Amino acid sequence: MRVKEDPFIICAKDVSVFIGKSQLIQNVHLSFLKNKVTALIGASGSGKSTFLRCLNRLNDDVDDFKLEGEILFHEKNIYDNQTDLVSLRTKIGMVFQKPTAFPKSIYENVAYGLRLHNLTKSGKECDEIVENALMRASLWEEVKDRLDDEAYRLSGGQLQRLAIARSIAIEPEVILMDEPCSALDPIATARIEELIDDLKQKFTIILVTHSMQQAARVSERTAFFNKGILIEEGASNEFFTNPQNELTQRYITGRG
Amino acid sequence: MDNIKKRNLKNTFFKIFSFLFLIKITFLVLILVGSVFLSGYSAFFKTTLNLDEKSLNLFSQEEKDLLFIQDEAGDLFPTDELDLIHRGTFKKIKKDEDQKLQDLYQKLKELKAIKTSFNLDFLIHSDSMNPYKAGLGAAIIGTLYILCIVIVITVPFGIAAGIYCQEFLSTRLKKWIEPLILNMAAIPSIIYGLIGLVVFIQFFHLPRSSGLVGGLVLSFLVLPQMIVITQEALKSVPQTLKDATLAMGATKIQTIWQHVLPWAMRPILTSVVLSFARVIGETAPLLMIGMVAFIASPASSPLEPTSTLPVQIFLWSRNPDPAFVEKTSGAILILMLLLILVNAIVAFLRHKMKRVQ
Repeated sequence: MRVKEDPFIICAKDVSVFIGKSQLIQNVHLSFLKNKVTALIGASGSGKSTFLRCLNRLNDDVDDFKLEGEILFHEKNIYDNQTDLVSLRTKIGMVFQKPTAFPKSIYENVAYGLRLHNLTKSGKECDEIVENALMRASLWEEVKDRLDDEAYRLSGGQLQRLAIARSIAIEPEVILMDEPCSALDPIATARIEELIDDLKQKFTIILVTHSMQQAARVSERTAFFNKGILIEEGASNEFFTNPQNELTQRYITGRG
Repeated sequence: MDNIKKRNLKNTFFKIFSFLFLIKITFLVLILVGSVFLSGYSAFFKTTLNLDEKSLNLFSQEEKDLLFIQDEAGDLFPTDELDLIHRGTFKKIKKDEDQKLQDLYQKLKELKAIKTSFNLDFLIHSDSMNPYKAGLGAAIIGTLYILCIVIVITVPFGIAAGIYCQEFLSTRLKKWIEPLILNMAAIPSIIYGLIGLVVFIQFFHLPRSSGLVGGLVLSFLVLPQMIVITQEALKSVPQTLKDATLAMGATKIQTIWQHVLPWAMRPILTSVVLSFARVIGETAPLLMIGMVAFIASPASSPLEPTSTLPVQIFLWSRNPDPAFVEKTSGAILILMLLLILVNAIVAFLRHKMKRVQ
């Protein structure tokens, strides 16, 4: 075990994001604790998803994208020129709003990352990892008899858990979740929330959500974005019961 | 309420109008295909003679001249007139000579010396002044040469350029290059022939009317439309699929190769095969690079002068000999058959690759 003196796994320092001439994020300072769930909340267009996508450099292909400041992952700036995107993204996985399955079988979907990065040699080892990942995503029981079926036949909630299984199969350290439940029904949502609770034993989770209840239920820390500015950040129980900022107060009580 | 009735009426009018138009088009196509078929199907049959010495001596020299032609090898061929009478294309009898021919024909028939057989020569032989011998061999070989060259050039380069434009080019450059390519796709084909004439024949001194030059010119003709269609196909790939693949740590090329291209493969393949159809049928640029020569033997390499199907049709259609009318129609039938084949391939591929949504 490596000794971690720093409890923060990712630190954003003075991050500003521009696309063309418009500034989407202004001078955000935000750190994420290891093995904790941090929720990012805020209205649509407040920059929370943009910020999340900056954490694994998924915005790089956006035209005229520019980031100022630095984002430190294990104390190394990921926006350094030397950063290898492939290894960065194997350490920081991501689950998206729309459940997306690759046009492959269920098994191959989960094994995709393993094959991509040549992580396994034998088929047996691969089988084990896939089974393990599906178990941890609590999908194993539902699909164990039809691993070779096309993945797109699964339901929305199952697809989202498949996406989670796919990310955790390559053992990342951080999982970014961009509104993972917004396209799901309440039962599927509850399952994903349970899953997030389990996963934080092993992974650091950063969750963007529109639902304040969800943020309160699953996260240890919550950060509130408004118009690209980080308004308030704190421990969730305190954040929701005793918000310091007036904007936060108005947002969580639903008064805009 | 009046308003709603009016709106519904407009709906009905539109439906009726469009349906009538569809019927009209179908009708026109049927007439076209039917008339070509009626005048062309006889090109696939030929008259063969089966005469031994004894029965040959039953005819006088004058009658022989009227009925047969003897070539250098000593083989007997029917004259045009006999050929046409036998295959029923020569119906009206006006002159005495025609009546005489008709009688002789009956005599031949009684001797069982004349019969109809499938005209394989039409597909194998090359162009000839003698309509009995003229065939599409050289033209088919030439079309295949050109098609191969076009496939080799446009499929990899067209798809690669389309991918580059869509996935790698920055928006600022794309704004300039996209309309450029679109305009290139709209340039009349004869202009491409002119460019081919100047660049390939005058500048690079490639052999005139060769399959190579034809293939190069037609490649440049279909390349822009291939790029545009590939780009359009790639645009239809959902961003979520790309994001999900990239987020797994795949590089951009891996993402394109593993998920983007397979997703867009159906429209891309369709465009590829449709460009082949265009290549098979294109004539104007080929006339420009001198592909109107009389080709009496199939080209043995792409560097030799060759002919193509549509050019052969063009040449035969200008021939005053009436026997070439059926040849022309027969060649059109072959061309249409080839195009139907290409379209069937498209349909098959589209059916095979049901897109995963």
